[in-house]
Amino acid sequence: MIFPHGAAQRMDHEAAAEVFYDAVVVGSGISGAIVASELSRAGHRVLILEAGPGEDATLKGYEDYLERFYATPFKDNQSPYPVTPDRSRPDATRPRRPQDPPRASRRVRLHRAERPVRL
Amino acid sequence: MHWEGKTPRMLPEDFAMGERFEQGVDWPLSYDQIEPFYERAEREIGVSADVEDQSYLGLSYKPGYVFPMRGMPLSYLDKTVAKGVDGTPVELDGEHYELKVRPFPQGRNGIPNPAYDEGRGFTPVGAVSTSQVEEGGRCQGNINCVPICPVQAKYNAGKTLAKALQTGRVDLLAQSVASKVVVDPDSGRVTHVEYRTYGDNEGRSTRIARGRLFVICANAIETPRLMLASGLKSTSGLMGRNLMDHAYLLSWALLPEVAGTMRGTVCTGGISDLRGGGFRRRQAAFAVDIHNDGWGWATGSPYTDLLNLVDNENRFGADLRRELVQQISRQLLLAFMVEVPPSPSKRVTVDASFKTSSATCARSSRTRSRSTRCAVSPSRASSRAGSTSASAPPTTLLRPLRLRLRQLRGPGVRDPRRHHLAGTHIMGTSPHSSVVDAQQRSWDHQNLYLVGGGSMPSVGHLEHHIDDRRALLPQRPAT
Repeated sequence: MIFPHGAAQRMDHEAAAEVFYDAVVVGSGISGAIVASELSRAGHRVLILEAGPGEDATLKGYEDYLERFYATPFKDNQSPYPVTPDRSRPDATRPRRPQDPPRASRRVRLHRAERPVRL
Repeated sequence: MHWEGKTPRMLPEDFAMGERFEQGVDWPLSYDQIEPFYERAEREIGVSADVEDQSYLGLSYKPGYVFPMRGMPLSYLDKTVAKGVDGTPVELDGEHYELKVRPFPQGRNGIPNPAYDEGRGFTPVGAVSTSQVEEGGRCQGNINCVPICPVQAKYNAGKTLAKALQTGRVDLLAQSVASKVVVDPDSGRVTHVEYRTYGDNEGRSTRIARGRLFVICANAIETPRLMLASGLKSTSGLMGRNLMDHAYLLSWALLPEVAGTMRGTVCTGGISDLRGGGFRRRQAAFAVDIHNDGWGWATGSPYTDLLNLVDNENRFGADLRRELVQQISRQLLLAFMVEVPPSPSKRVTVDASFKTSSATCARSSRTRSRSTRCAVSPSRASSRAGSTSASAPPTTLLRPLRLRLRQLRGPGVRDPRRHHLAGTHIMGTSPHSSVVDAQQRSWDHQNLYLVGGGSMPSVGHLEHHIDDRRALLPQRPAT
């Protein structure tokens, strides 16, 4: 997977407003990516609007995700991905049991576990 | 990016639920019409599977077809469970079925099949890395497919997006949240999309994007959310309705012997042979996943195991390591994936008080339907049968099973939301009974396509990312 250098930054809002695109695609997930790929290969000019930060359209972005995942002590399905208040996303897909402690207290317990064990 | 990566096709009967079983609605497409697009999707994703394993319940392939890469082997855990499950007879609605642990097709890189594409073979999209580590890009069984593949073997949308950006004809504006689809009231055509920006460079502003054709690909919650927030309910009034997901029942237990849990992809095999059959007239069909990642989904294992051993049992050193292996490598979790039929009352609505913020809040209501509930009891029964016949003594197996099952919420469905969302801009043959046509084009707006799982009129038993792709491949801009 090789993103062209700076591909996600090469267009700005001012310049995009001047273009009448063949297609405007909302979202660059699995559906948006394939639509953009098929249309562009057929010669059409495409604009993608992506709600996310867009910092992952690079190799470094992928590696940052990995690093964040490895560095998270109590991992769940969202651990690699940053929270962006400006676009909503589903909660972690692993359900929490009713008897689970709330997240904050789970973190406290974890800190306790990380302390050196006195022998 | 955090999808698990199984890529089974839907069954021919999944497309004709109304006609065959008087349940749900029919697709405006048949399996035979869609089959060539499955092939293209399997090329795009890079699917590893063997046709002989995937020919069941009417799944058919073009003569001589092979998947791009060879099938991934069953895990040791799968084989341990198969010892007990294979050949187990089940009777449902008067028909007899024989259970079998079958490998799933995988959307991740394996060994390319030289016979693919009439002998031209297949070149997977491999890994690139900035470190000295040779990653190879083939699946290494690291188990943390969800949420991220450490060696870039699992397909993610970035692989396709990178290809699109390489053409030089695609511009990407990130931190741009579409907020309104604006329609010309006379022609019904979309004139532009309004979007809001955020972030350090741009600050907050509202801007517009113009074009000839518009494609909304924001998945089954956000796509209808955007349309409804724009006041576009569609002629049928079905925008946002028929929200579907898979209902899950989890059963988990300890095996009497170390079975290699935590090796492989999250799920390499399971029971697929009850995905279809005449019983669907009376109850929902289901598939069973054998989870190589142990109890993770249900209990938060392995992290909770570690906390428990340290905090509650005061284990440390070699003893702690040994006990972790003992506990985790014996974990068995079966996930029963139950189909949910469409119902207009389950829907996505927009909370008006959030309309002004960039993250408009969508509310969703999902309830289990009758046929989903009906499916749960046989699922649990066969879970017990399956587990016991995996030669586990009742003391180690049934005790945890019974204990855990008592903790289930409701009538046994443990997790009714898996985010396998569908139905909210349902596909059909008429503007009065559906939102989009068979090409995923909006009936009301000629130059607008709503693409994704939301177009699907039935969910079957797959993670329907593959269907997202299949359905949108045929489309071309209206000229």
